[in-house]
Amino acid sequence: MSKAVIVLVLLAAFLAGFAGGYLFSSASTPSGAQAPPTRVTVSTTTSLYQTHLLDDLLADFKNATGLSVEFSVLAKGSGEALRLLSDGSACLGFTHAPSLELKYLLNGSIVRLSIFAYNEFVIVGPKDDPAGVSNAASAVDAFKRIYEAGEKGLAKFVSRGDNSGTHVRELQLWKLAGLDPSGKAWYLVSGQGMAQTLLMADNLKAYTLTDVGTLQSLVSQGKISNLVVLLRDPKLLINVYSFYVSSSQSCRSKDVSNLALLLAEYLNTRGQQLIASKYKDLFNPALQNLTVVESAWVELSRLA
Amino acid sequence: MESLLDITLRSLWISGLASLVSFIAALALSFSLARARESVANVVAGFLESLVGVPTTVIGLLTYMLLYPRGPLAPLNLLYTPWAIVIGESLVALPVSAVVLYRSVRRSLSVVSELAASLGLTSGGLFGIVAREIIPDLFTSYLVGFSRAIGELGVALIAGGGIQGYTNVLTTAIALETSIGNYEDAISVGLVLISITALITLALKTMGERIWRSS
Amino acid sequence: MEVVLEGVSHTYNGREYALEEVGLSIDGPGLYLVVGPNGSGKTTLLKIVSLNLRPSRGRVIVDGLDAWNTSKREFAELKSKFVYSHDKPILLRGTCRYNLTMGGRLSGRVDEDFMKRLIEIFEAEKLLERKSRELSAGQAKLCSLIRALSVKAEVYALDEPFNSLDSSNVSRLLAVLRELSNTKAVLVSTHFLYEGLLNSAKKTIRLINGKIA
Ligand SMILES: Nc1ncnc2c1ncn2[C@@H]1O[C@H](COP(=O)(O)OP(=O)(O)OP(=O)(O)O)[C@@H](O)[C@H]1O
Ligand SMILES: [Mg+2]
Repeated sequence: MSKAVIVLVLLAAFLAGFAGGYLFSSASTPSGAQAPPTRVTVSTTTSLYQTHLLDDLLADFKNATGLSVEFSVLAKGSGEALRLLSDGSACLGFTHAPSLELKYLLNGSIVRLSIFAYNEFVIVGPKDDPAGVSNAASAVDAFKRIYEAGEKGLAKFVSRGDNSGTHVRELQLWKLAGLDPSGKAWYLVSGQGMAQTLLMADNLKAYTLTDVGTLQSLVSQGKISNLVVLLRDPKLLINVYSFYVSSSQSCRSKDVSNLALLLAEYLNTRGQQLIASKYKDLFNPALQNLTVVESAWVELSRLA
Repeated sequence: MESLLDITLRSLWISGLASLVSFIAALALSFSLARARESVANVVAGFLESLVGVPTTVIGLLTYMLLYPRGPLAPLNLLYTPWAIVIGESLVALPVSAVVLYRSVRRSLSVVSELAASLGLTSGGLFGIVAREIIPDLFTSYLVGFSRAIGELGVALIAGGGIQGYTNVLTTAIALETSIGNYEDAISVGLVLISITALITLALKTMGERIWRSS
Repeated sequence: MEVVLEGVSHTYNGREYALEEVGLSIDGPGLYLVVGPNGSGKTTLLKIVSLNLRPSRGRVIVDGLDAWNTSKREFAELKSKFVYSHDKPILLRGTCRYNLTMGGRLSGRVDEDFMKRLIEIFEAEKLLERKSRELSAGQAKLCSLIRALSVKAEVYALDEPFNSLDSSNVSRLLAVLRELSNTKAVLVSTHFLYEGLLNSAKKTIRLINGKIA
C-alpha cells in the first residue's frame, strides 16, 4: 500500500518531466538527417542578434554550404561574449569592441577571422537638446557639452555599464574628453541591454550612446517618443563588427576549425551581399571599405 | 521568438526533471538528517535554510564554473545544453525542498520509531512507513522545488545560455525579449509562467490531498 | 522469562527524578499491576521494564543479562520479547486494518489466529475499515490494544489499557489479560482498581513519587 503511493508520487513527477522531455528530444532531431548535427556554440553581441542579421547569416551559410551544423547562439554583451570565447565556452564569436578584442588577441586566446560589417554609433537625446549636442563639432565635444549641462542640472546621461561594445566606446569618449562622470547624480548606469537602456533614456529624457540597429528597431516599433539622433561622427563613432574563433583547447577540433574557416569565407563573400541587400539601412558590408574600417579598428583598439 | 508552446514544454521538462532530482536528493538528505544526532541535524538544517536565499545567479555561475571547458566537469560537454540547466536548477531547488521535508520527516520518524520500538523492533525499515505518513509534505516539497526551478533565471541564462530552439526556457525568453525591448512578448511569456506554476501547484496539491484523504 | 530491576533511577530533565532507586522483579507469567497517583512514574517504569527507555542509573537484567550492556544483536534479540502499549495510542495514517497489518510487519512475529480471536472478542470487525483519524478514543484504544496483544512476546507492558473503554470492553479485556497472564508476564498500569483485576494480580507494585511504596 505505502509503496504503491510512493510509486504514484514519483510517477507523477516523472510524467511532468519526461512527457516534455520526449516531445523536446524528438523535435530537436531533424528528420532524415543521417548523422546528428554537430552543435557549435556562438557568442554574439546583442545588436547582431536583435536585428536578426546573425540568424540570417548563419541560415544562409548553412544553405550555401549544405552543412548540417547547429549553432547555439548566446546573445551577450561584447565583454561577456569575449570572455566566453576565451574560456572556450563558445567557439565562435561576433563582437564589436575593438579595445577588448585587442586584449584577448594579444594574449592569444582568440583569433580574428574576419571584419565583416560596420555601421555607426549615434548620440541620441531629447528633442529640445538642452546640452546643445546637435551643435557639437565632434563626439568628444558632444560629451563635454553633456557633462557641462549635467553639472548644471539640465541634462542626464544613461550608461549601459555592462562592458558591452557600446559601453566600452562610451568610456573611451569620456576619456578622450578628459572627463569622469562616474558617481555623478546625472550619470545613470542601467546595467542593462541597449534596448532597455534606450527605453530608460527615452522615459527620462536623457542622452545616451547607441548603435543604430537597436535604435531603428525600437523606433520602427513606435516605442521611442522623446529621443532623436543628435550627432553622428563617422570618425569616432564607427562601429566595427568582427568574427573570432576561440583558440581554447576545447575549440581546436578539426570540425570547428574547418567550420570557422568556411564561415569566415562565407562572411567575406556571399555574406557581404546579404548584408548589402537585406540590411542596407542598418549595416554596411566591410569588405568594400576594408582599409578604412581596418584602420578605424586599429585606432579604436588602442584607445584605453 | 520561437513558439511559446516549445518554450513552455522545454521549461516543463527541464524544471520538472530538475525538481525531481532535487526532490529525491532532499528525501535522502532529510532521512539521513532525521537519523543523525539532533545537534548535528539542527546545524545542517540551519545551513540548508540559509541556502534557500542564495541568488540563483550565484548558482548559475557555480554551474558554469563546473561545466565550462576548464572546469572539473568539462569532459561531460554539458555547458549550454538543457542538462546544464537541469544540474543547476536541481541545486537551486534542493535547499527549499529539503527544508520543507526535513522537519516533517523528523517529526514523523520519531513517532514511527517509537511505535516500532514499542512493538519490539530495534532497527531500520521505517522509510516507507514514514514516507506514507507525510504524503502531503512530499507533494509540497516537490512543488516548492518545482516553482523555484521553473521561475529561476540565473542558471538558465548563465549555464543554459537561452539558446533559441535548444535551451531557451520561459525565464530566459522573458529576459531576452525584455533585453531587446520587446516588453509585450515578455509579459505574455510571464503570464504563461504564472499560469503554469499556478495550475501545476493546484493539480498536484489536489492530487496529494486526494491520496491523503483516501487513506 | 525473568526481568529484574536493580537500583533503577530515571530523570528526564537532569533535575527531578521520575523513578528513584527502584528494585523489582518480574518472575515469569502472571498479571503485574502498577498503580499510583498521576505522575508517580508508572509510565516510566513500564517503558524501562519493556526496554523502551534506558534508565539514567541502575540495571535491567533480563534472564541474567544486563540488557543495556549487551551487543546490538543480543539487545535486539531481548527486545523482541517485549511489547509496550502506549497510554495514548499511536496509530498510523490509514485504516485500523492497516495498523494491525503494520503491527505484524514491524514486529515480524504476529499471531494471526490470536488477532482474529481478539477482533471477535471485542466485536471489532466494524472498526477494521475505519480510518484511524476517524476512530473514537475508545475505538482507537481497542485498535492499538489488538495490535499490541497479537504480537508474539514474553512480556506485555500495557499502559492504562482500560482508559476510554466502556464497561463491557473492560470486562472483555480483563478476561483476555487473565488468560494471557497464564503463559506470559503481563504488566498493567491503571487507576481503575477493578476487583477482578486486583484478585487476579500476581503482584501489585505501588508507586508514589517515583518510589515503590
Ligand atoms: N518526556 C518527559 N520529559 C520530562 N519529564 C517527563 C517526561 N515524561 C514524564 N515526565 C515526568 O516524569 C514523572 C513521571 O511521569 P510518568 O509519565 O511516569 O507518570 P505516570 O505515573 O505514568 O502518570 P499518569 O498516571 O499521569 O500517567 C512526571 O513528573 C512527569 O512530569
Ligand atoms: Mg502514565
